[in-house]
Amino acid sequence: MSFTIIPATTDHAAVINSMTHELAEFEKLPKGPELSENELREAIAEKNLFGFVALIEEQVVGFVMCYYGFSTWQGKFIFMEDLYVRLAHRKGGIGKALWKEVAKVAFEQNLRRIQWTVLDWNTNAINFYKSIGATDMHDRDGWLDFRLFRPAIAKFVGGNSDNGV
Amino acid sequence: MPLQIISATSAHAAEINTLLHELAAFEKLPEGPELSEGEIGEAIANKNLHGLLAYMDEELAGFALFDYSFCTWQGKYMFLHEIFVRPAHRKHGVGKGLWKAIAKLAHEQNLARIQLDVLDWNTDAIKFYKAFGAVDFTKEEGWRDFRVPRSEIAKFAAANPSAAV
Repeated sequence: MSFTIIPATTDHAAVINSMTHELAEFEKLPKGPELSENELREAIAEKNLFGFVALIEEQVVGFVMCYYGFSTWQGKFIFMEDLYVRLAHRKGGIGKALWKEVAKVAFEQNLRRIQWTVLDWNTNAINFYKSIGATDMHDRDGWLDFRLFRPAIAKFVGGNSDNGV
Repeated sequence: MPLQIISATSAHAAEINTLLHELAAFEKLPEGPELSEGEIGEAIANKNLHGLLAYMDEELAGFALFDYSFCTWQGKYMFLHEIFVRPAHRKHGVGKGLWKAIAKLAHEQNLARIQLDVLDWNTDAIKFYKAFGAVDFTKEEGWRDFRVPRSEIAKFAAANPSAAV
């Protein structure tokens, strides 16, 4: 079945929000997404997030959402946050077509890289990404992703400076 | 004066560039930094990049470089790109001072998280971050950092749309 890819707009906020949750379920991290549909809509409106949706007969069947980051080593880059195609519509080239739109944006701006994270057990995704020339940065250099969450930030900022650290 | 921490301006581009290269050499990735001093200055002037510089008795002792991004799961967050104390100035609380200043900024803006990458062999840094409550997200949830460089982006973006997958 043929599909079309168009830029994501605020009109797509509801369906993108649903699919963000579907993807998080698949990733076995259903509590991951914390943003409301309105916050997503606002982020798209303010261009803090940008992306594309795939449509079959006017139904959204997949999406990709990205944002820009700035690396001290390579300057402006795209961080691809979510890339997802609904189960019933896989193997039809939609994922690759969505990825191609992101690559075109990066290419037009002559960015030095596109970056994202993938779960180590998601072999289908890993194979797909390697087929498009991506490198696992942990395998290559040993990079690990570390995070300090809001409660720990608050604790640290409010904490006793003589906590033995 | 012992420790002094200030916000970086574009006038600090040369000092920042020096420290970037010292840190990359320590990380055994000396070819990593590709930006010129001019590009660094511009990024700070345009607020694409933010920094803190630490001085001990008026000598440049270390720095932290960060930017802000927006993720679909948690909204605005801080990405800490670099945090580094020159060997001669270690064990005097410079690292902790920088980290505390970073955390205060994140806390004041009520950010969902501070995120950073660390090399898996850098056990001193890992201990330091864990002591402040940071979590190894690669280990915790299995996330791996993937990247596609400009050469691969060009190949893909320019490819014939009907080419075999």
